[in-house]
Amino acid sequence: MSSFTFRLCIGRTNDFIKQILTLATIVALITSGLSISNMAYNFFNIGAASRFQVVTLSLLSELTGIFWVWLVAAWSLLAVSSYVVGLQSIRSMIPTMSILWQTGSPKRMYRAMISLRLLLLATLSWLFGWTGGLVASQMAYRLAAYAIKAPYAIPTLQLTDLVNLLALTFTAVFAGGLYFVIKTRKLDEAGA
Amino acid sequence: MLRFFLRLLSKRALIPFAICVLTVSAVTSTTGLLLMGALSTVPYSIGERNNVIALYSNNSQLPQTSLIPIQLATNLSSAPGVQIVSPEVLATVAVNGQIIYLRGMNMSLLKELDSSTLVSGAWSSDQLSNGTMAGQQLANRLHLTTGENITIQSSFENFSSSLTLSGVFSTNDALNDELITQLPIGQIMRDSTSSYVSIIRMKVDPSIFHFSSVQNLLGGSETNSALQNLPITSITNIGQYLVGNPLDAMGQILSRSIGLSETALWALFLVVFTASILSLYYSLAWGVKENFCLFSVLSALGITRRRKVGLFAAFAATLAFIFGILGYSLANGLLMIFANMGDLQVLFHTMVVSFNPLVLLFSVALIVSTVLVSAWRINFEETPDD
Repeated sequence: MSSFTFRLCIGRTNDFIKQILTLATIVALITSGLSISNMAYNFFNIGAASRFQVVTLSLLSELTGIFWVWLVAAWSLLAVSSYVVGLQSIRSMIPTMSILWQTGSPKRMYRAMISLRLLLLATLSWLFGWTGGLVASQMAYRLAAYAIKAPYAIPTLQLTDLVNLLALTFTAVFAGGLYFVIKTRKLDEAGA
Repeated sequence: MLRFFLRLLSKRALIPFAICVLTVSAVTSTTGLLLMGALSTVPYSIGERNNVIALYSNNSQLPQTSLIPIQLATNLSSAPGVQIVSPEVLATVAVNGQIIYLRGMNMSLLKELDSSTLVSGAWSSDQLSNGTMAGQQLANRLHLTTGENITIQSSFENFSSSLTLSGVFSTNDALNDELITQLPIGQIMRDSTSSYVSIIRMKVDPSIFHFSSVQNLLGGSETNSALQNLPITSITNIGQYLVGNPLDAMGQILSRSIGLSETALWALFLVVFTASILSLYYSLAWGVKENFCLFSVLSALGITRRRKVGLFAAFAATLAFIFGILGYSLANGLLMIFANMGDLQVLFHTMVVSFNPLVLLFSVALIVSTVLVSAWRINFEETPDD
């Protein structure tokens, strides 16, 4: 794919940045939740003798249960936001698509463009989301610890968390982008 | 004018906005309800009632891990306004591989102190040393039946005990999720000596009882007048003990154990909402752009921009209000289902998920005010001039 096609699938840079920002904020929120629940995991483990292991594991399983319920809601928000930014994308990409149809570009080219756009949106949202979320939660906890003179517990992320976040972001962005793909397909049929 | 506006307005273009408001409201409400639920479940798990106050050690991170001398119970029973004194031990035990709370107490006080009703079997008598009673929610969760022998494994020491379930009771507090047994069995399971208990609960007469009445018994140094005016719904430090309504203890417990205050938890609620602001803005912007024709027609009819913006903002705010409430209801309903299924537990007790007007108010107010500001800004940017 040429750099020109790449430019075309991004469209107006300002709009694209705004869309990434919208999704990255929600990914950052999920990251903060994840890193704070990891922090709680460390809190439960500190100083606990091995004989309390069963209790500790049960408490952690409670915490995970609560977090997953919240995560379902946060994932829905990510998917709905992806749908909303997808609507904006349709508007900004219609002229580009029309020109491509008029100039006889193959269907797979603009399908690839849409996929690439969603891929970029998901990847960048994930990248900026987890870094922003982690930094923000660490800053917030450091400030809180400083303000109320409590011990500073560090919110952290594991490699598996990053993989889970990647999966969450991609599924939400592609689920939200479904409408966008269907709508473009309809335009495609009308154009053909 | 309003009817004309509503007739020409493309409602279909506002569907994404309505979906977005519903989701944002559901997510912020879920966060608020989970935080508030967790906040109220920890003190609730002690056994909270309006006229029941608890006493526990100020040095422990949680009331459940407290250890206080049982002798205090005898002393407190003579204090004016104190009607019933119940020294209790709270221990985590494993039953069928699941961790639950075992409460060792004088079982004859169960009816009086917690207004519990018998669901099946019979009230356990004090003479039956290995008798136990289960709260209804726990019995349902662990599929326990009356007459069954239950093996409980202590989480403090490597020993187990076999108890006979004499009955199942129902109450609307924490004991619904617990196994109740005699105090000595609780003390063995807690790995404490017979002279110590976890907490002392007291049923008091609010018109007679004052914190100052128990001050001397607990070795406090606070002034009498300060304690005399303190309502029994609050909690106070007296000597090395915390005494009062457990619901008020949460702030102290959280800041001491994990450095969190209730304000910080409310700030988390705001953070969740802030992350949704852009989505709300873009979904509304989409609705405005799709209604460009309507605004052009209104301009042609001589309607001022301020009026157009006002009409649209009012309509969007009404929609946000309705879908905001729906979003809250959805979140509350789903969380109640999850809680009843036993998926939401805090300290081995079912999380308290109930209607919370504060969460509803905050959620809807934040959404409506964001929509009003967004509508104002979008309209001035996107709609045609006068």
